[in-house]
Amino acid sequence: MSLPPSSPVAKAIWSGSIPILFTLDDNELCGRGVDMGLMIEAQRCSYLPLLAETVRDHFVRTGQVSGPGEIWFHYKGTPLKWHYAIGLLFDILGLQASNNCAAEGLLPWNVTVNFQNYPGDKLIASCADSNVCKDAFMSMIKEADYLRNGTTKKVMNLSKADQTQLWDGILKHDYNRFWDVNHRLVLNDGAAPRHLPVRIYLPGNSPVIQEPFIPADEQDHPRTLRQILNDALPALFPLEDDATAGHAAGALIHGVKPSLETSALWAAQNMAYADNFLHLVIVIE
Amino acid sequence: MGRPAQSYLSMTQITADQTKFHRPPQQLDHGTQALLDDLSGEYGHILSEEDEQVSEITDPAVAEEKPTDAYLSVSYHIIFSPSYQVPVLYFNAFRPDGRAISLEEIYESLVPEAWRSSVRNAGLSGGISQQDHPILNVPYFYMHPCETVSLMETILKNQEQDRSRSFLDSYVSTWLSFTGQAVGLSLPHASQIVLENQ
Repeated sequence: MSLPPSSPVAKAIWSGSIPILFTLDDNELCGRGVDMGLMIEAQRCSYLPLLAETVRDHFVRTGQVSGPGEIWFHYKGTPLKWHYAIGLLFDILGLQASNNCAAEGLLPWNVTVNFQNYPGDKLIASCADSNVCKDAFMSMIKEADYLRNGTTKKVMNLSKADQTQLWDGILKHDYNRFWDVNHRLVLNDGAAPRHLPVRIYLPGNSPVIQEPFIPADEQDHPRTLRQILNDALPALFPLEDDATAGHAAGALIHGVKPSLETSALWAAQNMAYADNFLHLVIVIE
Repeated sequence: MGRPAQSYLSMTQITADQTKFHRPPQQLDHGTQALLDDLSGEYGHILSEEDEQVSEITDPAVAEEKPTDAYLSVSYHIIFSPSYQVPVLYFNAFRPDGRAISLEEIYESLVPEAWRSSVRNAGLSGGISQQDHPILNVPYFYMHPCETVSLMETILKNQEQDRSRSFLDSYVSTWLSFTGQAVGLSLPHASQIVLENQ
């Protein structure tokens, strides 16, 4: 087993976390229960279904909830898509929605917990099932592989043990376990990727922008974040920085705004989420 | 924001709710079949970027004959996947009272019995699962596109090259008749779908 490459940026991203205060929805509080929230330091690169059991246990133990029910979460009325990484959810619903790139005032993140009326028309089933969460995660990993190589052979050829280790690294939040397998995917065993796995989130629940972005130009120079954002959103991200434009748009990832001159390939290799995608959340000043 | 409008091909079909009757999928009666034939004629055109066309089949005669809770309204959307560069079939099924049906009920009601185990065992986690609809951003069932790519390669390699039809023509009608059948979409004249406005 070779050692995973040590990228200080990748390590810092893996360690990113957000304090979340989980409170039961007012409408669901049992008569005799004590209104007591649960504070969790949640990993940005992890997923809500992996916290579901801990959250449920708390609310059952404190007598606030009795009986079964499908858990789901919302923030200010918006159901939280559990197949999105926790960090991505906060970037969109916390930072982007408040048009505020600083997290002060938004933390701890106040997330409401529900056990009734699962909104099947808005949320994929089902939030508490970690197997469904794993399937959704592996689906993204395959798609990223396809974008890089035009085939999903690399992922499909991972041994059962390696596939298990990948997910296990997420479950246990173990950087070495995860990156030991993941580096082969993200660094593509040294082969230049055809396209970069990127998803772009505009404000206001717009459809997610997903296009195959080319990592290098005809002279084989790495393209920048600005150039790939220009591919997708030319009006918001002109190639020449226009000082007279008035509105500056930026891209948030893991709660920070990298310079738009960053190499997109480098960003894809060092700043991707665990699912191998660069999830860029657009903020407009 | 300057994004071009995205569109998708959409079709709604009324089908018998097998979870109610626990019988093998029935042949549709002549009235409903005729409506579907008309619709497949209409859907001979692949839409250009600006169009979005939604049609629904409702045959009041059929609805009156049978109990209303015995039917499902199934919406099929065809959307091009930018990552896999293939068309992907998204679908949702609702009871007459508007309630959506579950994955298990999808298998029971829409997937022909002979196909069930192959669809269930396709890929890493089964051929059908839920995903955010790329444009509507709400949950829809869909057929995994990775299966489509290799499947279409195999089918088209083995298919007799019909010189009167373009490659794209053959591709779409083959894909639609295969994928559609796997999830209960009846397009009896799918092989005659002609592409325009490419």
